[in-house]
Amino acid sequence: MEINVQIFYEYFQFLFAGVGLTLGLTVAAVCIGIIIGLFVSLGKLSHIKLLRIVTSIYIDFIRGTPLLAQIFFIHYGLPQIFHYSPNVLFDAILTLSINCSAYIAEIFRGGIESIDPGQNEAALSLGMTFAQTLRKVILPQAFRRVLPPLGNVFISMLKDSSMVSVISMQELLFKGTIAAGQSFRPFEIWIMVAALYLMLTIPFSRLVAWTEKRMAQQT
Amino acid sequence: MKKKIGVIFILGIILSVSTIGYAKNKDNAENTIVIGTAGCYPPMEWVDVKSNKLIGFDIDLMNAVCLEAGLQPEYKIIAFDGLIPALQSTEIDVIACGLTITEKRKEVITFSDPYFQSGDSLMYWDDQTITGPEDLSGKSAGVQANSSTHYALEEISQQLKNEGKAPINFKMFKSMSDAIAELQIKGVQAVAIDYPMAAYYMTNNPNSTFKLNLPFASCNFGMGFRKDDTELVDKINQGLSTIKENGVYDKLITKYFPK
Repeated sequence: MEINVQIFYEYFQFLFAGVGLTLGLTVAAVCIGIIIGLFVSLGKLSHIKLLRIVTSIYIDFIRGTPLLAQIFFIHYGLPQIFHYSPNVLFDAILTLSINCSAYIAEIFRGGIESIDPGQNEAALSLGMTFAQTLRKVILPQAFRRVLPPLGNVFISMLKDSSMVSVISMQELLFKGTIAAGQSFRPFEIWIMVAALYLMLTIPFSRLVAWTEKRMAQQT
Repeated sequence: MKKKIGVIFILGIILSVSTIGYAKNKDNAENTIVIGTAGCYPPMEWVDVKSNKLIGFDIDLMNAVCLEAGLQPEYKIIAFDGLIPALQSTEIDVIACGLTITEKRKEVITFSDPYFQSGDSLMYWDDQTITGPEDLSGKSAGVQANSSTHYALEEISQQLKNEGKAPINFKMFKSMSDAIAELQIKGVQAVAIDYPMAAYYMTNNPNSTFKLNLPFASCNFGMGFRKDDTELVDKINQGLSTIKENGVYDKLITKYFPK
């Protein structure tokens, strides 16, 4: 059996069309996930016990269940009970955002806790309010520390976004499934899919490594 | 503490090694054939929840055919998309999964004689009027990616386009059951699906508000083989014609497709 080069020409454009959706889903999910994650992490660090309990349950629930189950639940399960007509793209972004928000919340919590509590006390004793302390002192430092792990979340999300192919989102992986099924040439197709994923993940992992190195020099 | 971690670590290794041993095939007898099926297309084949065993028309048929041909059937569940690759990589020897005989598939695999006549049909909500596939112009239709029904509908969509009408807005799923789930939540206006499976769904969900049209195109199911496996194709074809003559086939038809 030899490699059929013709397949590469024939299917490249078809597969490449899926890259945009994969990247778009990932960027949207991570951005929304950062916003949700920030609030969840603040809830988990809060002095109010109820908030701590609710956010802990949220994180445990999301991290403790498979992404695929979450997708099926949100897309097929909820509309069955609440009788609305779902939108695939909305559900895909929603599920991916919620999923990565739990991981991001834990990253933020770790980042905020890593800031010396003395700084918090100092800022408060200078007369800054809690919100001011958070915005001007704690978060800017914490955010720099969490950049590398956030990059890792982004890279895993690039790959995990393939899960939404089950609800008919034609991202890169689903395009690959279709192309492999039509051409009966799985080797050529999946090599191309792998190359396209690497084209997205490698530059990003280099960027993460670079920021990590730069920050190590600064501290 | 260190000791404890060590013990857990070793336990983990033992566990994973034993899983590999379990996953490996039992030593195959000479006349064993491995039959691949997706196991999610009732009434052709599905997994019985109580016994966790494959059942259905294809399974009973293959059992009967193998009995005639003196072969020992062994079943393997593989996603529909993976069936032809699994056949080519010799992971399985036969595909029995309501596989439609098409010219395109004939380029890579060999089919048995047709063993069942099926058809492509449309299922939709009863508040719609869809008399034929042409009525799907501009509407959304759920299909299983790479199924013969998908290809048939794609041709119709192309025709509609050539006539200057709106093409069909396809939504592709990995299995027909996902497409039906999407129809249930009104995510698509219709699904295109093999008639026997749709009819089975309708009889088992009498309260559903779906409508099902009679097939708009007919097609034949065949078992799939590797191109060089002519000996096995002959054996299966012979077994198939025997059970068609001795009445076993007709019994299976009445069992799974009662009028």
